[in-house]
Amino acid sequence: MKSIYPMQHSSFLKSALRMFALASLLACAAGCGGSSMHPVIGHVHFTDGSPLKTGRVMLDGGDANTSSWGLIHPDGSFQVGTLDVDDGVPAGVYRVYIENAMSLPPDNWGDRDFTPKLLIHPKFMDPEQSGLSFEVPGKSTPWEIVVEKPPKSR
Amino acid sequence: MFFLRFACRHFDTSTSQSISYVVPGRRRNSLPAATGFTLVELLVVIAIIGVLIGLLLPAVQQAREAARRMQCVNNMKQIGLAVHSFHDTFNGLPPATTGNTGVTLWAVLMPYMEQGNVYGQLDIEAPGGVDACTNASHIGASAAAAASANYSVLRNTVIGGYLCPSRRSAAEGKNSKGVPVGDYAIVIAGTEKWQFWKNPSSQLQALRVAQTSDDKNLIAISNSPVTDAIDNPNGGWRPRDTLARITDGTSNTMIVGEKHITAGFLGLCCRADRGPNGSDGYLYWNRSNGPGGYGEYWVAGSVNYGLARSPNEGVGLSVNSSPALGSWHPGACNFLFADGSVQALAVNVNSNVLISLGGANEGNVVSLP
Repeated sequence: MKSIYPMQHSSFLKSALRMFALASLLACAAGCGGSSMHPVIGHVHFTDGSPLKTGRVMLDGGDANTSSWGLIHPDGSFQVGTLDVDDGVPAGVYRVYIENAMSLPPDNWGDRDFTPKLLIHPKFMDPEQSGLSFEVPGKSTPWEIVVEKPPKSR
Repeated sequence: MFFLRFACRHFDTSTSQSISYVVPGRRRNSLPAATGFTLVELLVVIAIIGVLIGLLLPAVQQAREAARRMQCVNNMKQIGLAVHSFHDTFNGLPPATTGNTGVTLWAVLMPYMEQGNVYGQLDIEAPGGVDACTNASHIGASAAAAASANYSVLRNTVIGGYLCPSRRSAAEGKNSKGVPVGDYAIVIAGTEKWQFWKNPSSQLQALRVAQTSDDKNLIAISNSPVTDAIDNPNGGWRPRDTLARITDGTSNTMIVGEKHITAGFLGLCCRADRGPNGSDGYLYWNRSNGPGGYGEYWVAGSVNYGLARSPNEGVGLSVNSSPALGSWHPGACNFLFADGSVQALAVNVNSNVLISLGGANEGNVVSLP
């Protein structure tokens, strides 16, 4: 008698545990499986290979018609996010352009006047003329963006 | 399993012992009636309670954040009322700053934020602090003395209404230099991200620098030695603009937003170059060479650099290339509009929309739905 009761308890517990595990698995499949964000990382450089050190890579469009962007780091790298800095973008085809690619005052510039200069050709700042487009997903390697220097004035 | 078996056996023996002790001889006739709950039943109940608590706790935390965001919105609403009270009193919008060396909007609005007692101790035409540029050789002896008196008052004036509770409490309202900080930023829409006191005609935002009869408040006063002082440069300032300048419509023009501070740099001030720890500086004083930092980043933010999407925005970047506006609320940033309303903008708002909302009279009218 005494030896049977604990066995029954433990088998009940075992089945309860199994049910719980199954339920949590199902809940996770429903809750975590819906993510459709795809990471986009890349590098911006000039035709001579030197990096664009500042600015913002903008991605407009996609299947969800969102606006995502990533800040360009001093080494030219960027990571695009939509609602956070690194959450990626929804799938789709994006128009890509670059904003705020203006020169920065050097460190310890003080409070003297500083006039920022445009670092890239203005066409890369226009989503219609940049000629850049990303299809996401569809590429596992980092994106490479090659920009041109601004045209010499006169 | 072994533990369970052991526990049950222990339970049985103790029951039989206690029954045999109380009613000797009846052990054989009556079954050991299960008067309590079994261990498994108890475990199941505890597990259910645990699951319920697990479901509830995140909801409680979200409710707390929602309450803090609500209080943050209310603070901005009060700032909006203060701006309109100022406009009614002086027939003009309060200035973003009274001048290059002057005090900021946040000091000018004090009487309308229930801080009249502090305001009464200030010389509002003098600078809010003392540094190499606001001494007697640069701005005259009397203005320098008034600046020193202002600083001793203002450095102890933490106003809870200038702080966003999602980010910090009033007890944390001072930075590493021991001066008050704020979580709201004057919206700047000019082409320049810094030195917004300069060249007001290039400034497109609603709140611009104050006006004086001789424009001495717009002069760049540098650290270098000077031969003759620009005497009391902000003396006699008055509002530059009225609400009539906002031809894009007061409901379509932002005047104050939430200031972005990169996570990890909260309360840190200041650095000579423009790293992210330059932005949590002194609230009341606009001075590029303030207590070791850059005044505009302390009190204002440009719409030209977008909204920060999370506290991690701008890690490792100069404040000149990362967003200046942004909140720590998930997914949204609140803005005070010139009509006194406060509305939340999604963090991935289109940059052209943001720039249009920042401009007061540039002609691009954008209405939020």
